[in-house]
Amino acid sequence: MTRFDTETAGPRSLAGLLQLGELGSWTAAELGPILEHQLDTPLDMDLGAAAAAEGTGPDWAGEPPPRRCTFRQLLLAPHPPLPLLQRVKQFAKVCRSQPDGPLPHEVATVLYLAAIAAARRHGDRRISTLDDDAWRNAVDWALAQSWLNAELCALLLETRP
Amino acid sequence: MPADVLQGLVRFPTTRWSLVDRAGREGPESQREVLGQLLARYLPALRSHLIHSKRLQPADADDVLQDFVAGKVLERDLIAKADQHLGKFRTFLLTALDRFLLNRIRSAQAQKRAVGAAANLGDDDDLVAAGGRADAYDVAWARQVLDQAVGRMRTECQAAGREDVWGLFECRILASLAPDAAPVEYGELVRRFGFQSPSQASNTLVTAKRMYARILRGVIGEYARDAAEVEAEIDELHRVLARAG
Repeated sequence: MTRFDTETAGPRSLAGLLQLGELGSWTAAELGPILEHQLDTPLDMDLGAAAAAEGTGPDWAGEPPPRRCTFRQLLLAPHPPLPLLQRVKQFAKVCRSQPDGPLPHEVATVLYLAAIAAARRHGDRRISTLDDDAWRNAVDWALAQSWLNAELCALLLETRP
Repeated sequence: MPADVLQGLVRFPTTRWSLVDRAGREGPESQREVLGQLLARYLPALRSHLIHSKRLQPADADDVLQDFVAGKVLERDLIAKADQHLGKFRTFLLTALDRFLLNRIRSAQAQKRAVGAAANLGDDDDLVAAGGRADAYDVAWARQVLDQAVGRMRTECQAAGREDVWGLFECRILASLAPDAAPVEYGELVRRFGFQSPSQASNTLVTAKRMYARILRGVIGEYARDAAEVEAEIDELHRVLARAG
């Protein structure tokens, strides 16, 4: 990395320091690594300990819930607790609505769709009001993202009408 | 948001105009000290103006500046004549320097004529006319302001134990402005700073940007009169730099 030096930097570079704007924001090439990092993040870090504790109920269908469940473990669990999926969906929705939010808009959208898909996959439980056409369009958009990983591709494909 | 951070957003430090005022009113001892502070701040930009806009050799620029400070600023009490209602102190100093330079050139020409040397008004007039644009002065000033802002950002982060904030500012913001523009990628940032989630990394980046914006406004607030003038100065410096680039 070449160091930036205010004494030698050109005027145009210096101008960037007066209006930071989008400077430093995550790039398209970083969406994949950010998604992976998000999936490996324990739920309690983003949802809070109380919300994450909702996952300790009987909805894990007799299996012991992971001690510190990650987003990936929840979304890919055989019987993920519905309240927790709703929490994830709500978290992703809030992230999508904030320009300076914790997640890039595209990653937040994939997380939002993955939570809905995880609910639909098991007994066709609905946590959104999207009809089949809208859901198909949303899934197609997600599948077109080159940085989407194989696990989420499979999850979304399974629920595509 | 902690109270001291909030306070930093709304409080402006002592303005340079108050220094100007003190330099104009106080006794000789105190006046020299205050003048020293003022000049340390403005001389680099004035020197850049003489070299780049007036096309003086660096040694000649130093001579002119030295005479300007000794003859105009100190002996003729220039600072006491500064009036904050008549515009920026920076512009006031530049105008005074330009007039000083013009008088110096005319005086030199008069001396030449007095000894019968061939007058060369054309060259000297060009020299003065070249200074019609004050860009070099403003670019040097902007550079100085930004240098201070970045320096203070580093110092504040270190003092607060927020190496992650400084690190992210350096790796993402400053690096994207470097000549070969290669900001450190997300995965490497996670490894380097131990971010446990994208939220943590994003929040740190947002904190870095907000902290820098506050510090930049603080630096400008030391010579601007109010918040509106701070914003206007940011816009003006941005225009100057964009035009010069």
